[in-house]
Amino acid sequence: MGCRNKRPPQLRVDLSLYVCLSHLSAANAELPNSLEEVNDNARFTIEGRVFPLSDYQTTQSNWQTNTRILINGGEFRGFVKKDGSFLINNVPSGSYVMEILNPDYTFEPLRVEINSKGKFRARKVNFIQSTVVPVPYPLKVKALTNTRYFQVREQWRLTDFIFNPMVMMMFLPLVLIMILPKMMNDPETKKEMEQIQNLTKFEMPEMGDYVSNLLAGTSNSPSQDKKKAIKNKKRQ
Amino acid sequence: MANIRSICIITINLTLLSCLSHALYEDQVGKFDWKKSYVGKVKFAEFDARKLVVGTEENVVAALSSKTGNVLWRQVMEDPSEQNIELLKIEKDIITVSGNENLWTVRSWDVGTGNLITEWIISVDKVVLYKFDVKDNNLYVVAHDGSMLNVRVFDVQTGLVKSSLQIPFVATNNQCILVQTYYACLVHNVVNYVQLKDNSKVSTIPLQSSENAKISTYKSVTPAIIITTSSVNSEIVFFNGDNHQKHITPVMPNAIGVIDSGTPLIFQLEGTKNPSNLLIKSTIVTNGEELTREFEYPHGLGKPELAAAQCIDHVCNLLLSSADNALLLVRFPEAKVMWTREEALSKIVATEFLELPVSELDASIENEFKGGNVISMFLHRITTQCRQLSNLVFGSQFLANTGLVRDDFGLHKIIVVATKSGKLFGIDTLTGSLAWTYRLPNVKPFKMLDSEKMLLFVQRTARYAPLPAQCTLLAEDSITGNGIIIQFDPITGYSEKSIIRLNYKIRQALLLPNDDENHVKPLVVYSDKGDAFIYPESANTAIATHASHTYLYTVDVNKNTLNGHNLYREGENIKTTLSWTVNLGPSKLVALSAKSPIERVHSQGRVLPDRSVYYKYVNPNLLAVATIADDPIHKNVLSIYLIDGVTGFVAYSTSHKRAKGPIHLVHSENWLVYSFFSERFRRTEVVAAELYEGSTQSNSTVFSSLAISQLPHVETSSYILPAFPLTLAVSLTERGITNKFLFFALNNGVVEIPWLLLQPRFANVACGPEESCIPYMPEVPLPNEAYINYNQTLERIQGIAVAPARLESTSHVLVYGLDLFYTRVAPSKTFDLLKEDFDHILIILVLVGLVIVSFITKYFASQKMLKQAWK
Repeated sequence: MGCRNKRPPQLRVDLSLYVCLSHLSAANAELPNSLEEVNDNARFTIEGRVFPLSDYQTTQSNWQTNTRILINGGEFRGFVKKDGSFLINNVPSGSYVMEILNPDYTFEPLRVEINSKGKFRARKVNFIQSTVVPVPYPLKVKALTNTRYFQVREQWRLTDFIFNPMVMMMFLPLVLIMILPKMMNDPETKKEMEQIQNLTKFEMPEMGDYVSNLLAGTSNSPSQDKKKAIKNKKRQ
Repeated sequence: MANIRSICIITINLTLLSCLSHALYEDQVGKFDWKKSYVGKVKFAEFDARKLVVGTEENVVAALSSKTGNVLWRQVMEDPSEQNIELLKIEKDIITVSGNENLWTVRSWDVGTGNLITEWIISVDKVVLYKFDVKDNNLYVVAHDGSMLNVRVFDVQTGLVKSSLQIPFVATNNQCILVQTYYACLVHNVVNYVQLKDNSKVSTIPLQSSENAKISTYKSVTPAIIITTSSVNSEIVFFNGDNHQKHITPVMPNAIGVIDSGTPLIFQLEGTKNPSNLLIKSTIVTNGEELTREFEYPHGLGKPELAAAQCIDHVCNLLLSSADNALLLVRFPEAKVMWTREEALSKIVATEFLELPVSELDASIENEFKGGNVISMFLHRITTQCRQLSNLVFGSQFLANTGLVRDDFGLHKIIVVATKSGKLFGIDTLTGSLAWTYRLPNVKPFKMLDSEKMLLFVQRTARYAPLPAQCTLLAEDSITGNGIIIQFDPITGYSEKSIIRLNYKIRQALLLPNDDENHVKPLVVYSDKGDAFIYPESANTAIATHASHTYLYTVDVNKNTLNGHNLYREGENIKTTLSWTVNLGPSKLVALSAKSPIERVHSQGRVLPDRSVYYKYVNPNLLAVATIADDPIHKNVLSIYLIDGVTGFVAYSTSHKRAKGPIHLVHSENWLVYSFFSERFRRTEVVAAELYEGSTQSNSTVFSSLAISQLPHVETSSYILPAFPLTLAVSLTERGITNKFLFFALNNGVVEIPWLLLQPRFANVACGPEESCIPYMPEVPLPNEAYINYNQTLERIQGIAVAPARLESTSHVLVYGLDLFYTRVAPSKTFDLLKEDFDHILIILVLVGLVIVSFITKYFASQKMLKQAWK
């Protein structure tokens, strides 16, 4: 940012000089008007300068073309020159909201007030309260931030993975199997557990057989198969 | 303590907001959206190296790539309704003069980047016709008051007056042109011209035939004019010092000059015997040597004109601008069209989203039971299912072949747009490519309040295969002002009957909800004489039963009245009677909004904390009207009315003092949102008004405007919008279950704002997360994430078209203006779709893992049981 501010001062002076000149020429043209009317129809030029973020060269090479300056949502328009300065010509006296729009940077809007004598006053826009935070004129507007339009995708994190319900579903039974038997060292719970196991015992041998048969593979006895088939039928 | 509380509220708000706002992920950019940039109808065009610089009727300066036609940079100047571009010239930089009758802005732009270099203004007090031209860094401004030329010469860079001249020159003002430093006027049967310098004298060019003669600028480096004496005959006059010299042979009226390696050439366009071909003729000025090439002019474009030309080493680029605002670049010796731009799309006046027809395969399944015997039906079924299976496995080749076919979720649609120049387009939503174009000669849109619109109706959707879909467009004849009507197939752009020019002016038109025997919804067109016409005419009998309960409204902008009409049947004809009138005068009617006819309201009421239901007042016939009246004390008073379109009953009205336009209205379900500029607080305010019937519902099955028992209860709240809205729209979904979002078009894009944020809070109901209520905030937040166009600039947004997809969560959105932007939005996120980052692999792995683990544990359990049994 610093380098922006340290721009050769001559350039700035030149520009403002030029502004005066252009204004003079405009005034020349208006001279034939009667003097009373000049006050009413007086037109003024809002001037200022836009500073993008200091890293602009890397992200947006041609930010000046993409920056638009709008007064009251497009009533008057200004364009940014190469050095960031801008002029909005031909504005009658009144109170205006100036927006600086750039797709990549966010600028704060400003309220510019011009009285009928051509005195300029600028302040921050506050739509709710009427507190006045003055801003020096000619305007110097700095970009607040890089505009972020996108949500950030969630990153893969170990904790997220562990607390994922599916992973919990896989690991919790494992933990229960490993740790519960260790906890059941005291005899009372052991007894209770045995009782519960006795209740569920009637099915287990058959399933165990099935698994052992499956694992044993070759030694399938036909009688067992038949029995199983019958039992399966019954269950259905 | 208070601080902590406020922080708490803020955090709650923030969390709620983050839940509500639906933002894109960066990797979704361009996945389902596209943007097309336009510049408008070209008024000035000049080549510079590999660029084409254009100045357009939209008051835009832009540089296009002469290779591809893409916009390299674009600078949008003031509103074209107030200011127009008067001059564009490339000297070292681009110089433009734009403005209105007594005030112009002179700007110079860098050709490469589009940066502004200088800007200064010319302001004058005398309103006469002014002409501008630039020669050698001098800007010549010529004012001609009939007897005297007042010439001022400005320095283009600084705006200083270098010299001013007064040259006596007597001529009528209407046929005068300024060509570099020569001012020429057509006076009766001669052309008078003068060079703009001290003590110069008026010279005269005699004409052979003076009837219908015209003069125009000959675009070239040397100062010259074209004098046109008939539609095919004209001659070029070159100026040289105080003399002039005619080109040896006559040329076409639209000839253009270019210098190719030092040789001056004249380019002309001519028609050929083959109507689809055009002839380009290049003539060397000095010896008259000719070279002609014929090329095929793209189908569907209007009459072309040469706008600019450039030659580099005997290869010439010719820019053609057609009557329907298209731009073409033709490479000369090859006679090849390099690119085409449809600039008509920068002025859209009607849009409609249409569902596509089903693919051939799906259509053949529909025909399953139409075949004769059982065996053929069985075979038909087996073959179609085999094809479906092969499609599923090998990818759908059918889709690839035919292109425009319906998908499962209704995400692929066709957008039919009508443009101001009278050209119709079919645009594919997936790619943004143009499916078809159709050109209507001599049509213009209707003037409606502050906008220009054509009326586009969908009479039959693509659902009734093999009958094609049918759309109808109503517009105005640009010559007679009478109505025109055209029916076309929106999928192919084919029109069977072509354009029908009516012999009456159209006041209003509406589509009846009941189909006739061909599944066509009859269109009722109401003429300015008060007659009603039915299209198609065969539907006349079909709607006989519905006529008596069909109502329509008309707006009289001059008298500021709203009229309601009732249709009735008399013999074979449909007649109308005036049933009600609402006179809004002396206020001026500024905005009007009706509800979308396809909108559905899912929820009947709002559930209060005591679990009772507060019923909504859902009146589909309600019109929202805004008027502005001058008031001596309060400056302007804005009034808002909700008027029943059937009875003329004013359901609600309110007013705002010291309010100013532009007024934007959005009307949906049981609520109305409008925005205006408050002059008192100098800010834009948004007001939401919600209508309720109360805790009892008068009729739960059907709503009738004629059975009014009581006035609706109205809840309102107003908010500050920290921006200047250009237009407003609301999301629309298939069944209305999804939360509603509002779209605010601002200068930097379109922001979506949840309706929940604006919905009026009940005074006696606690507001909190458990009621899914966000505490009232006076300023509407506009987070950057809510911009649906993210960092893509959309200039001069004119309207937002919204249509539902078949997927309940999703709406299609088309933002049109100078740019065309399409995207899909899902206000409540895509709750009816798996997330696109859904991890299919993980779920498969987990399932497989669980199965394996269960078998292993069973094995170990049985082992353990065995051991225990042996103990």
